[in-house]
Amino acid sequence: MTRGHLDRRSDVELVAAVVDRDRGALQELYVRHEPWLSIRLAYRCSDRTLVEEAVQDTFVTVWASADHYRATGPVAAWIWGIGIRRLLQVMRPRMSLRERLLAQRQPELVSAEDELLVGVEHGDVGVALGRLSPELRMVVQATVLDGLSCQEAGRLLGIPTGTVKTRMMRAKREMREALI
Amino acid sequence: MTAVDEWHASDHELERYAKHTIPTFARASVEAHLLTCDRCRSTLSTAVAAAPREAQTDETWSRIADRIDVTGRPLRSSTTGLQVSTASPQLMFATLAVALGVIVGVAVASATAPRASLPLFVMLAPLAPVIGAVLAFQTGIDPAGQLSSATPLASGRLPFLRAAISSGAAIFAVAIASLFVPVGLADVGVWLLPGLALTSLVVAISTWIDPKRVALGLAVGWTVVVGTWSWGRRPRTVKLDLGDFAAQRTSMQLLLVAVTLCSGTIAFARRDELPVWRSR
Amino acid sequence: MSPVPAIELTALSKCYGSKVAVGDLDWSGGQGVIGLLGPNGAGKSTLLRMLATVLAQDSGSIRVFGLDPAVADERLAIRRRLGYLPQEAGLYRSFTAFDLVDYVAVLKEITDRTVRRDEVRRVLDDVGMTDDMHRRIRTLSGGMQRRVALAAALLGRPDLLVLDEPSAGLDPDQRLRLRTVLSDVGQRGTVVLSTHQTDEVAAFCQRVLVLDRGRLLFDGAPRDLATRAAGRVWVSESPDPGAVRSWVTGDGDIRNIGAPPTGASVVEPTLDDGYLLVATEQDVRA
Repeated sequence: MTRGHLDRRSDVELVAAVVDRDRGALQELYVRHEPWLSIRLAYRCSDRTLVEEAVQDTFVTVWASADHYRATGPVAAWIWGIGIRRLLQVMRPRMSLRERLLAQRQPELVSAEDELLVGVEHGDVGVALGRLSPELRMVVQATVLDGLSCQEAGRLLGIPTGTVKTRMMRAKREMREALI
Repeated sequence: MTAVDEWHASDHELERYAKHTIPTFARASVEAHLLTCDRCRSTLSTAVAAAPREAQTDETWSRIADRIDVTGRPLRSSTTGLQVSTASPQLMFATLAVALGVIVGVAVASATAPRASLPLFVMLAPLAPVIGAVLAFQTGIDPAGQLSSATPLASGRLPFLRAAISSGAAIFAVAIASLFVPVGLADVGVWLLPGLALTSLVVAISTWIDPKRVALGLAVGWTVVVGTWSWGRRPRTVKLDLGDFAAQRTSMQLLLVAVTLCSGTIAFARRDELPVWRSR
Repeated sequence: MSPVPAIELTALSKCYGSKVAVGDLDWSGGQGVIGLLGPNGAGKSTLLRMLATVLAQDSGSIRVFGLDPAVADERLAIRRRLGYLPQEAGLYRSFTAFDLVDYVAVLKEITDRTVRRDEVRRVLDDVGMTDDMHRRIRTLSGGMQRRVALAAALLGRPDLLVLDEPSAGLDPDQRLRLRTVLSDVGQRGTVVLSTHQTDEVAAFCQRVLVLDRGRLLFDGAPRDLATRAAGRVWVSESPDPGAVRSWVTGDGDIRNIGAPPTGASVVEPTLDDGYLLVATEQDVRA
C-alpha cells in the first residue's frame, strides 16, 4: 500500500477531498493519523484487537461522514473525537437503545476544555494532574483530555455517571489549589 | 496557535510515549500537543514505523479498504439479477412513462368519454406489457450497453430480466388503471391473460426476428380484434357487457394460458439467441 | 502456440449498403499484441466489432478460439474469455467508477462478492484509478472515463482483448501504464487494438495490420513496415515532382516517398514512412 508520490495537501484539504470521494485522500489521512491514534487509544484499552477494530471503525466513519467535519478545530482533534467513541463502542458493543440514540445526537466534537488545555500546553497543569490520585486522574483524563461526556467517561471507566461528576468536582478543586 | 508551534515534544518524549513509558503528566501534554502538531505526529510515525508494526498498519488499511470498497447502488443487498436489471436509468424512466401513460390515459378517457374508456382499456391492457418488454430489448435504451455488449449475460439473461421487470411494471400499471373502468380485478381474462400471452409470444418470436417488428405485427392484430368486437357493439350504457367478449370464455382463457406457457418455455430455451447486442 | 489460433478469418466481408467496411479478409493470428492501423473509415471498428461477437458478418467465417460466434452456445463460450472496449463506450453517469466496473463484472458472471470486489479493485488499479474509484462518473474527466471503460474490459483476465482505440484521451504517463498492462496480457493471450498513430504501434505491438477501405494492405512486424520504405525515402530542398507523397518536416526539409531520383539523399525510413507508402501505393493502384 505504499503510495509512491508525496501528498502535499493539508489535512483540511484532504478531508474536503474525502468528501469528494477521493480514496487516495483517505489513505493519506490514514497514513498521517493512524500511528498516534493507535498509540493514544492503546493507553485507554489494553486489548490490541479492540484498538485495531476501533481504528478501522474510525477511518470508515471518516470516509462515511467527512462532510460532518467543520473546519473549526484541527482535523486530528476531530479524528480523535471519532476514535475515542468508536473505542467505547467496540469495548461495549451492547449499548441500550436509549444510549444509541443519545450517541447519535451528540456531535463528535472535542470539548471546549480540551481546546483550552491545548493552549495551556506543558507545565503546571500537567504537574497538577500528576499529583491527583489515580481515580481522580482517570476521570480528568476521560473528560478533559479525551473529550468524553460524563456518561461516556463512566462507561469507559466502568463507574456510574454520578460518580464521574463528583470525582470531577473534587479533581477541579484539588487542581485549582495546586495551581494557585 | 503560534504559541503552540513554538513548543515541540522531544524525540525522547515521543519515543517514550509510543512505548508507554512516559510519566502521566507529560503524557497528557504530549497527547494534547499531538492534536495540533503535524511535525510531532510525523516524528511519532517515524518512531513507531521503525518497530515491526508496518505489516499491522497495512493489514488494518486493507480491512478499511474492504469496508469502503462496496457498491453504493440501491438494492445492493438483494439479488444480482435485480441490480443488473435496474442499472439502466433510461429504461427505468421509459418503463415508468409507459406505466403512467396507461394509468393517465385510461383515467382521462373514463372521465371525458366513459363509453370509449372500456374498449380503450381492453385494447391497452395487453399492449402495455408488450411495449415494456420490447423497450427492454432496445440497445439504445442502455447508455452503457456498448461497454457491456460482449459480456456473457448481455444478450441472454440481462435483456430477459429487464423485460420481465419492465413488463411487470406495465401490468401493475394496468391493474391500477382497471380501477377507472367497470372491470373487476377478477376479470383477468380481459386484462391479464391476453397481456401475458401476447408478451411471452413477442419475446419468443423475438429470438428469431427483430422484436420491434414482432411487437408491431401483434399489436396491429390485437387492435383489429378488439376494434371489431367493440365496433359491432356500440354500448348504450357505460356498463359494457363483457360476457360475450371471447376472452371471458373458459376455453379461450385456457388457450391463453397455454400460449403463455409454451412461448415462455421457448423463449427461455432460446434466450441466448435474442438479437440484442448482435446486430446484422 | 496452441494448435488452434485465437483468431481465424476466412473470406470475411461486411458491407453497409454499397460501402465495403471489410472486404474478403483472410487472416489468422494468435498470442501477442496486434495493432490495426488505418485511416478513419478503414474498417477497423467493424472488424473489431465482429471479433467481439457483437456484429454478424455478411459472408465468410470468423473463428475465435476455434468457435463460431454465430452459434449461440459458442458465442457464449467466446464471450466468457473476451474483453471488449468499444470505440464509444457510454457509461452510467450517476454511478461511481467502482459501481460501474462492478456492474460489468456481474455481467461477466463473477458472482462471488469478495472475488468480484478484489477483481474490480485489481483492474481499476491497473488503469491507475485506485484513488478515484469512488467518484461518480460524471465528475471524472474524459480520459478517466476512458480508463474506467478499459478497466471493465480487463475484468476476468480475458484470453482475448479487443480494444478500439484504447489510448485515446490518455496522457503519456497513462499510455506507458497501458503499454505495461497490454504486454502483460499479450504474454499469455491475444490483444487486438486499433489506433491511427504509428508510434503507438511501434510501442505496443508485435504485429501490425494496415487496413484501408476494408482491405488488408500489410501484415507483419512493425519493423518490417518501416523496412518497406527502405531506399524510397529522401529529403530535398523543394517538393520533388517525382515523389508520390511529399511533406515538410519539423526542421523545414521536404521529405519525399516514392522512387527517388538519382543522387537524392536517401534517409532511414520510419514506421510513418512505411505506413504512408503502403497506403499511397494502394491509392495509386486504385
